[in-house]
Amino acid sequence: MAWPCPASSAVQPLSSSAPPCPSLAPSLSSLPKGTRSLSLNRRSPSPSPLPSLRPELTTSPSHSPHKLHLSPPSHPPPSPLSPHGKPPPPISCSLNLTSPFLVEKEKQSISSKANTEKQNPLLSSLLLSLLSSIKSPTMALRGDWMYENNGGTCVAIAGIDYCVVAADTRLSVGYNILTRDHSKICSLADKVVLASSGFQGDIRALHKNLAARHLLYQHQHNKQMSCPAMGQLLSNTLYYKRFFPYYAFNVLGGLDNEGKGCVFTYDAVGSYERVGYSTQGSGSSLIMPVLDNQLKSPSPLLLPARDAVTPLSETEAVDLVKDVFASATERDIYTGDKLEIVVINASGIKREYLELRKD
Amino acid sequence: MFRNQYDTDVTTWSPAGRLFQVEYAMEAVKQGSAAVGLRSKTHAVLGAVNKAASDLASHQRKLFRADQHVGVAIAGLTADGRVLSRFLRNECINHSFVYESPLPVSRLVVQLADKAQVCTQRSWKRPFGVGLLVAGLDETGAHLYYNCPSGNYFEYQAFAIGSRSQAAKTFLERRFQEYDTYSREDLIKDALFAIKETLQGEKLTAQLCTVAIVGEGEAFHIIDQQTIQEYIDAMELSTGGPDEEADAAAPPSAEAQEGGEGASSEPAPMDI
Repeated sequence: MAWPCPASSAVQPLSSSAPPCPSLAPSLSSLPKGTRSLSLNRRSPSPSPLPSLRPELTTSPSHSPHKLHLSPPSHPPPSPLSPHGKPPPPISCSLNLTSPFLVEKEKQSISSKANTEKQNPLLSSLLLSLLSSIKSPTMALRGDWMYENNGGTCVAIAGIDYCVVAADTRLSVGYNILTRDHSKICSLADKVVLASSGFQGDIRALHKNLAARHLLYQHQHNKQMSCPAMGQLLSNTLYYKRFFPYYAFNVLGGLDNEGKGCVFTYDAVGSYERVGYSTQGSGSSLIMPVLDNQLKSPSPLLLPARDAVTPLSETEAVDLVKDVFASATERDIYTGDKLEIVVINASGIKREYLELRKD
Repeated sequence: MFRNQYDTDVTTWSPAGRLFQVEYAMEAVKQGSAAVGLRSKTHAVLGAVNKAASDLASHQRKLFRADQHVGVAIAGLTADGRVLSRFLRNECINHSFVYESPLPVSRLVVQLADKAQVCTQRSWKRPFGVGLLVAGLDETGAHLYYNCPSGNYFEYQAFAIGSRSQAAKTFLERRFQEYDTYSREDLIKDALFAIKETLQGEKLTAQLCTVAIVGEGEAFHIIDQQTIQEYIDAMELSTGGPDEEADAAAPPSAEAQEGGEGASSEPAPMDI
């Protein structure tokens, strides 16, 4: 089956040295299964027109996605794709009054805040707390809205004998960042890892709940929970609160009893499904189509649905995850800062971090 | 003790101010196979004798983990002991869920003692027929407690309960003064020695006993059979047994290892 896509030749390169990215891949069916043909970043040699999209990872046009050509980002040609013509601003510049993400109202408050700060520290802190509590107009006026979306994105990919679970580490509320360094990933068992995005209070409670239930399980059965068992437990735990749900969008990853990678994806009330890959959270709508393009099995019409673990190798899957997060960070304001990647395989759980754009 | 007219109910006092049913429950503890416990400043060791009801049966589990930092050894009615271990596990999980920190051992034994006391003051209940040696590590160091069916608890440097425990207690009484500074290995050796005392002549093998340890940097866990056998062999060599004993020790210990690993890899499901 052919994926609808524009012909590659229709997209003109902006300069001879910088073919644009992304350009959609040719039809998947024409390629051997498992070949990654989408070249979000892959086909762009240095200097990349999007310098912040992991400039250290630029490969030659030949298909060798594993090799890292470490090249510093030199001054790139201007391109409509990049928001600024320069590398991202340093992190220390926090009160960026010209940032396009600032709402008009907040811009004024911040400038007034900068003025009044010296005179009245109490007033400025009140303003700050007001700002952080701004939600959508309908809900903000209620005194009883019990949820809050702290943003973030989670991804999981199942492989033949490994599973990759990744999530960004930004915690935000409204248009503010609460912290750049908050883990959304919880290691529940030696072969089970849970990543959740949504309301951080509920996520933490949910993770604690599951960890305690796992401890009980270990006491009773003298062994760790398998991933499918934890999958069912999570579903039941979520549905238990069907009428006051956990505001948590979960992706569970791990190895099943045979050692194959398995990923379960959930909605907020416990509906779940075993899949080959999934993403949840604020950036999921940006990432899911890319994963579908890369990982979806060529015959989804085959029923019953077979488990679609990707034939990609572990390093390829991790690279794919890094790529999709780098892209999602570009457009989703709630995704960024740092990416935490957890890989589960037969030898255990391994953690890796990658810096993302901080704006 | 003899039967009398005040021992039918746990809610009946005797004229001498005794609750006979509670005391009978303590007798039940003495019927169970022996369990020993000892501690230093940083480690606590529990040991138990693996007595099977018959040659056809497997031995009952006497050592239970309550949490990473606490474990118990039971003597008496194993069923009561299992139920109480489940209670201990729940209490530990609840505490660490609410307070994000391990439950201090002293609080755990108080909760256990209070649960036991309830059964001494209800006419429709009976006291638990099991004594528990609770060994754990918390911020104040390693601890060993003994919980009675009566609802009392005592802290010990070293103790033994169950049948023929007096021999072990005598041995421990001679040695306990130095336990605070004992190393981990010496503690295990002394625990094995104490267990040996309760066997009274029977040969000590790794198959016959179970030893668990908890300490600084070491979660509560049962020590595997092979390591125990090595300790036993080292003990026998150091005590300088006669040559025939050393020779006889080699083949039975090898057999014990193979048999032991098959039999005690997992507890039987109905043991939990």
